[in-house]
Amino acid sequence: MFSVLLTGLSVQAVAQDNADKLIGLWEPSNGKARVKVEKIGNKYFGKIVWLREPIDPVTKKPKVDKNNEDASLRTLPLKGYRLLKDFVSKGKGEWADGTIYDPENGSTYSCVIKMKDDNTLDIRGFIGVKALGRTDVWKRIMVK
Amino acid sequence: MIFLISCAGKKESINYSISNVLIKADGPLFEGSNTAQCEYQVEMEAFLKTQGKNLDQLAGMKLMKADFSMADSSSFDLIKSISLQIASDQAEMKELGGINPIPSGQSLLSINLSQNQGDLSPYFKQKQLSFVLDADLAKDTSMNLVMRADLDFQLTFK
Repeated sequence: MFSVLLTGLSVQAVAQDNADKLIGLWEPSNGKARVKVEKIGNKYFGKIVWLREPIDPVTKKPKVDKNNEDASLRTLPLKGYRLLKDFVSKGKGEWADGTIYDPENGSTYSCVIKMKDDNTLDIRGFIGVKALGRTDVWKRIMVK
Repeated sequence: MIFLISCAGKKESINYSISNVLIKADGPLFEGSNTAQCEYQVEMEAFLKTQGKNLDQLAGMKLMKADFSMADSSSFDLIKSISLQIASDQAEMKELGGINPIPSGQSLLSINLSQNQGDLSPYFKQKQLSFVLDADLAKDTSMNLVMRADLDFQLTFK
């Protein structure tokens, strides 16, 4: 009985370790930004921590979230914006129930994340039907 | 001549304040965006009881004011901007507001509140929630970042 309990606890610990593999620094395929994934409560969130072009060519100032549909948030800096929200681990290298925000158009999409290997993610954003969405491949950035 | 008067009836509202919420990021911290968090134990049910109400009667909740100060009473000069979110395991993270840039020399500031915060009561009907504060730092620091928040809400009832 005790060994069954221990086995159950260790399985849970392994599952949690695997879920936390999403934590770290990632780069989308276009290389325009880097996103740091962290855990808040029991969910996973990702925010922009680096921009390839951090300065707005029109204002000559750090880019802000100028396309946000909430006008009161349009002055907030893009660097630091949390574009991945509310992801829950589903096990087997998948995180779901979250959203991804596209600062280029101010739109938010439902999203599913799948880990292809320890350093590669498939990030699929969609509206309504998952099959009609678009997948981007993100690569882990090793932090020294 | 007939006068029709509509008595739509005002919804009852009460002010609810949370003071001295400490939101913390452990150092070392780096130039750029850093995340500070606070796990907050919700006491809404106990508060409503003192007002002769219960959670089922709570129809809506809105953040009306959010004031911040540094816990060590220093100024905000190390911090260029902040934004505040609310999160919980049972509801989506929501932006509450922010301020960018922070004027220099400030030791107390009020953030601009989100126009689309919607109804916050679902967060306060749970036992626990998180306040998440993103602070954009002007330079690296080895110190912890601890901010004190005083939040004023308006509650409306069925």
